[in-house]
Amino acid sequence: MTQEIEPIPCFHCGLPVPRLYPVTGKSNQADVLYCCIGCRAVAETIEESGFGQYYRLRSGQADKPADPVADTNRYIGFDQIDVLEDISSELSPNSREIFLSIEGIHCAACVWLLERQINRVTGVQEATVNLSSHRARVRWNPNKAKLSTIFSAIQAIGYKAHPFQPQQEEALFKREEKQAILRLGIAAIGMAQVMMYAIPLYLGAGQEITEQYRDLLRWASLLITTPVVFISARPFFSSAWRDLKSLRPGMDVPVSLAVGGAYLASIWATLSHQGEVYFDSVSMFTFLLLLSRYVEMKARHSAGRSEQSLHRILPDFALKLVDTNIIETPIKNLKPGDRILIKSGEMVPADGSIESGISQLNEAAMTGEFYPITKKTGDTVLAGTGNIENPIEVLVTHTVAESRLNLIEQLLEQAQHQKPKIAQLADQVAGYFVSGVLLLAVLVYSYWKVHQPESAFWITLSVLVVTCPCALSLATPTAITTAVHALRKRGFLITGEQALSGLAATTDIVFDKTGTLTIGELTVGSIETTVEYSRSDALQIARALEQGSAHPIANAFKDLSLELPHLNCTERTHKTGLGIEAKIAEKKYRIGGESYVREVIKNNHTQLPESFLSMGIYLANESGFIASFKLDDQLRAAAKNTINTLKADNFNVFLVSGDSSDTPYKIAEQVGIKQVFSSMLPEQKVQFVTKQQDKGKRVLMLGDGINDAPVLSASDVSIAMGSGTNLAKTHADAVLLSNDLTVIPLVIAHAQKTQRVIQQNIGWAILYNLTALPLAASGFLEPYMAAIGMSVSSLIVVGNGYRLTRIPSQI
Amino acid sequence: MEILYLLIPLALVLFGVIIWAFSWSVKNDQFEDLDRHGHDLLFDDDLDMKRPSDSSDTNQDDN
Repeated sequence: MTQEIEPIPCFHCGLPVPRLYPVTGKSNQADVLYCCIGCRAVAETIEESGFGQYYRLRSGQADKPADPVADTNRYIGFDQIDVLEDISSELSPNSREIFLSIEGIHCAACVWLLERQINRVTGVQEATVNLSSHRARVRWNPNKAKLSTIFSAIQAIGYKAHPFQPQQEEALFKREEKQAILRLGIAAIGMAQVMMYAIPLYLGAGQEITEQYRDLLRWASLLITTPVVFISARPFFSSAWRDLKSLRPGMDVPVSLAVGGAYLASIWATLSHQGEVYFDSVSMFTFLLLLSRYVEMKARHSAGRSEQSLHRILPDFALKLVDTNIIETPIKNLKPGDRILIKSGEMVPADGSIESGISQLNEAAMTGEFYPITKKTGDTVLAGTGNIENPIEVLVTHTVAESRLNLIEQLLEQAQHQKPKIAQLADQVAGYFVSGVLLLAVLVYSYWKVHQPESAFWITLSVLVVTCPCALSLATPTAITTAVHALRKRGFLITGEQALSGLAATTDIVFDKTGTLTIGELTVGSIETTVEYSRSDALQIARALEQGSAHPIANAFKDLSLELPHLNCTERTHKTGLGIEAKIAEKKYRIGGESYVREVIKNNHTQLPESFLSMGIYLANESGFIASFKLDDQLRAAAKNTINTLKADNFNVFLVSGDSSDTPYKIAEQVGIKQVFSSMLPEQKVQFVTKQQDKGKRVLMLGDGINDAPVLSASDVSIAMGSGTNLAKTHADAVLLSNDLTVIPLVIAHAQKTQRVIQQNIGWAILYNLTALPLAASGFLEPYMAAIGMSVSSLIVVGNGYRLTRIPSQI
Repeated sequence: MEILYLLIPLALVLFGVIIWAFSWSVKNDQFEDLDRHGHDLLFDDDLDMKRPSDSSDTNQDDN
């Protein structure tokens, strides 16, 4: 009984509201629906605090709160004096300062909400939240407020805070950003001034401007351009020098040549009272190039930050066993040989092996597999995986810094530090270009030296100015950076170099099932009950039994909101991999797999009701079966619409899944995909993609799990879901941070537009250089005309690129 | 036109002052968060001070 109704998004987090039992609530007197009680709790806190305008002003959905109930005890470890001293600093006896890194910030409304909420805590002196870096700085009076209270206040409105000690990389980002802004600003201010002086110079050229005023204006321009060249344009020179030393001239070499050459020639012209000055071109060109590099840098930095730091999933404290005592220890103090206790529902803080206990662990962070794995004494557990069922005692084998999790994180960081390769093609072209231009300049100079020695220098200069590859060097980066920036605002983060060109050329689109078309979480899909029980009765019992378990199956029941009270369970026992048994009102109940549940029924010959067949999860008590549940994964909100749009745009849409059941076919039918491939191993997925590529198709792959990583790398262009695993994200060319599938058709359309703009730009730049060059070489072009031409052609290219700022919401 | 001999040096001095002021503000974190402050005017700043009188203030005592 699959329903084809589009799921309703949750008022708070935007995830689909469960079909059977939505959580209802009110916002601003209107009825709204939530996906879980956690979201309702958070939304109510926000409304009650008078912050309801958050919902009207935000521009992105909130994260689903991890743990709805504000639990001060959870953060109590932060109040220990040695921990407090470690994570915060003392400003005065009545004031301490701490930096927090906050998860779940999406827009300015989040920042506003957080600042109000933190400042409301009595004893907080000042709290500021940074939207770009997702960091908060809080000053508080330790005598009046506990740190744990501040943490709980943040948690109560659905965000997650971690103490944060600025690392080297962060400091580097910050310095780089400040320098870039300073350079850009100086270039902008300088450009505006010099342009103003350039107007009388151009207008007066060949007319009655007297030499004394001309020289005055030239000197003023010289003075203003000097800081632009020496401060703003410095990165071009230093990188050109690096290129030359390694004998691999890139785009920065001709750029430096043009800036430096034009600057020096202008100084010479100013000193010798003759020739032409190019101060305006120098400063404008510097500004435009810096602007595109600034946008590029911002994209790179935010990519670095939005790769949700892996270590953030680790707890702050571990329970260390010393003799028979349990001591709360910050996890960075854990050493190999320590014994730690991991309660059910908690994260493993460090790599180790199980000393005693048997439990199920969720290794989704490492493997992407969301079904838990049973582990017993002697098995290895990895930091970042979740202990679901029973407490286990673990012998630590590696410190947190040496854990597998941290290794992955280091790999991610390395990937981020690599130079953005957007300009690579332009760099190669530039190599030939520089040699060509220099050779040409020498030829032109020697020709004119023989025929007309007095104008040889100025003609050569015209050639150099005219061939300055400004437009060419701006053509691709302005278009790409503008597009990347615009897409990022839509929650689409481009990380790979070929992402835009790949997207533009896409013909085939391959979707993964779990986590991509669906959310990747189990929910109750359908229920069958015996005549004595209603659906809500069955769900009420199931919910009571599943309380306190962190198993994905339990999650489907735990947060159900029913109009019925919570039942009290006693003598609850988990059987790893089988199910749960507990007593409710002195009656024994079991929920789980069929054979396990059957054992509780006193009459051994009880038949399974026919409608219960192949449902998966069963509920029974001593007198017989009660109900059966079918759990399934819910479709993402916009899956069907997106597929329809893509099909209407003539893309070949496929569903490729590792699932061997009939679920992929059902999902495909619901969203309208005709071409379905199920039970595909990771290598078969790769083969499938290569086969399509051999047919001349360009394949776009969307996936989320570790098992998708190979196929994400193999396809022409790949997109990982923002909710996916980190490894999938590093293998993909782009990340759909918003998880909103409707963006995909817009992104493809925008990528195509970007390609068109780049082609227009390059075409224009080449056309301009080719027409102007012979004119300059033959001496028809005055140097000032060359300078105007150069500036205008750069402006045209930049203006064309900026057309990509807007992404239409419909195509 | 002699006035230019006064005005242009004056402009240059202003240019210097602006550059100095700009670099001072960059160094003092005025450009820390460029994404956010554009939205600031949308939010009602004095909301907590002027609470509507009918709303209960039971949340004031933070836990």
